[in-house]
Amino acid sequence: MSRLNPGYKFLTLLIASLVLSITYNIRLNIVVFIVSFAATACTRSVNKKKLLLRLLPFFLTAAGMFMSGFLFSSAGDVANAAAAGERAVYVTSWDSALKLSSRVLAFGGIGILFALTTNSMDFIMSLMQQFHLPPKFAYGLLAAYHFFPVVHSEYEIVRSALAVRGIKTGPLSKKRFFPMLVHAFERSESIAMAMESRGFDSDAGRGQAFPVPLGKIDFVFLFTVNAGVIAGIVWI
Amino acid sequence: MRLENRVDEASGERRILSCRNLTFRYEENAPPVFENVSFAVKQGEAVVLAGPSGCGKSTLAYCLAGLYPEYAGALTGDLYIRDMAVSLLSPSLRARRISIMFQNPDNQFCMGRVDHEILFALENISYAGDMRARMRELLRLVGLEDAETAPIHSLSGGTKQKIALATAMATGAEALVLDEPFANVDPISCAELAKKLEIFNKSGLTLFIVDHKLDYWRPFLSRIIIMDRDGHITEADIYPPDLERRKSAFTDRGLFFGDEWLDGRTPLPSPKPEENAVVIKDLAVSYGGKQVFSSLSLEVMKGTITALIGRNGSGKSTLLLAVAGLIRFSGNLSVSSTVGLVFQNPRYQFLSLKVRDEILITLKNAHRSKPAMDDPAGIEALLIEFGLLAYADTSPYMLSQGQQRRLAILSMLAGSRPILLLDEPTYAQDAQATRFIMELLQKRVSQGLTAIIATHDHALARAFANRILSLDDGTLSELK
Repeated sequence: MSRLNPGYKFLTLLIASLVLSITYNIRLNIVVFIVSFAATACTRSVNKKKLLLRLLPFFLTAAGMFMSGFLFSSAGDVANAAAAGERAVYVTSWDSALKLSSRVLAFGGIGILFALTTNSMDFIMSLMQQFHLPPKFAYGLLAAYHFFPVVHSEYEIVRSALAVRGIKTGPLSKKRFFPMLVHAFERSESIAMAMESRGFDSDAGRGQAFPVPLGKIDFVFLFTVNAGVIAGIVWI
Repeated sequence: MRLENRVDEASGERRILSCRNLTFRYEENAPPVFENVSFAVKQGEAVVLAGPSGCGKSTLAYCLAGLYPEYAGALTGDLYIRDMAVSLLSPSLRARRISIMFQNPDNQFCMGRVDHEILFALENISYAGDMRARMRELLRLVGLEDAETAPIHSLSGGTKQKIALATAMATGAEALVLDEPFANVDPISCAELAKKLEIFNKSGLTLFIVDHKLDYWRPFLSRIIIMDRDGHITEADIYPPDLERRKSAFTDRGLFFGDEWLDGRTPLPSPKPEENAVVIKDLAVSYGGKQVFSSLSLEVMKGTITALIGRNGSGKSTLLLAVAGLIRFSGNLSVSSTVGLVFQNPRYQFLSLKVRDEILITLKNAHRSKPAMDDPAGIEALLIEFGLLAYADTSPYMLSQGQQRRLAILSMLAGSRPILLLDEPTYAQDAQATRFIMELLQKRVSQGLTAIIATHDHALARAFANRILSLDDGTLSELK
């Protein structure tokens, strides 16, 4: 999976998600989740522990959605009702609960498949090379992305800097964001200047040091996956 | 008027950078940062521009690199790189002629990895050869061949500046502007970097260096230009053989001339009887997932200055954070009273948009039960002592670096912090500002303050500190 062209992989999975969003097929949703999970788990570069950890929020959300659908679904016109505690549970409750939760798992599976098998830089380069994303945005995104570690450590420094003045701040304190905001402005200007002084010119032609190849396999993947989802809607 | 790009017949050298009557303002009607600046730099020269803090040296550097006025302000006058007006060159063409190394090593990288950063620069100029082979060659030239795939954020300040140098060289620039590139780098890394720059200069790279200190440049600099506090070039031709004779050109302007300003200075005697302010035993700290030290012990006497020295990344800042109680640690650490810490970048500590309010916040926090402490006369007296009265209603963010540091120290001392920790308090300061801060500190220490200073400046440590401790590989050793 990690050898596929990231831009086309994204396109493939985006179309698959859109197609999937027009249906409420529980079995198809579960098949999509299992296939996505298997494909991700079989990719050599994927850390299995990380995969399970990343899936955890989706499992929890799916469980939450299941309970919501199960306990608060509309009654519909189904005659057979059973009692669960003091609440009336209709046959449709199972159905809508499974529809909701399986959708979360299907979309979660697709999202995780993309996120864990794709290198962020290759993805941006692919958007630039195959989908004509202007270099100004592509390198701007990369610069911002690479700043996360610095912003993270800065967040801690600001907490300490204020604490030592006797000012306690919570994680979302306005006081904590004020110095960070000032720095963010300065930093973005400084990086833009640095990029320009290294010859970055969004209007000029540029060489290609990070080629992201596009091959037949990417088109095969695009058609096979989406044909599979459509076939699933029709036959499953 | 277009300047001539002619062969200087007397010397046979060509001008690579020339400016005439350059005047720069940040806003149209604001007073100029510098005015009528004219000089020329010949190919292969290593010219140092010295001047007091806040005189406009860095602004001039940004103009020479073609970044200002595009990013800020308004520039009038003529500025040429060889025969081309800088304003007419596209960034890609300009980078092939001139590039810049910035003061802050953290804010000059677009990519996450060392190799990617250099390849990015090669892409920008559409390098015709094998980009990866050239990238490796550049890394070898700056001595970083083993760091090819390292994440940049994990590297030390000195290593980051070497990457910045390799990236600037990747564009094929004939001239390099350096804006205080050693401001945040330890002495060993400074010497290594200066040696690399000397080699590049000897092989034809023109250097225009903005710096407070001449120390590392003296072995190979060609000429010194001095800019005055009001942004005028007052000395354009101080050559190395004349340096000793022209010493007063530096000292009279509050600039460093070696470590001469420290001559005759000795630390204040330790007060008697000796009493501990900080006691550390078997301290272990892990920071950012790394064990910084595992068994560190230290005692600091009340009313003394202790200097902590060590390479970038040796753990000096981490030790200060632990003493201030701001990070988790194991072992025994006790302090006799409240601790203040002035960060290397004091801007992280500001909370208001007026200098006066900054002090008010500290006073209110420190003396909640004594509202009388925030009386205007008391604040005014503190502002006078710290030379900040004229800026009482100015935003802390608009102050010069030296003023910001003084304000940060004041914010701490106003809050009754008998123990004060300072992380690189003289970073990027000229001699005058450094002296102001250190004398202020010494005065407070004579009144009972205990100070621990992390610094790269060994001479400064010798002149002011009662003890100098070197932190290396998680171990503290005392320097005699």
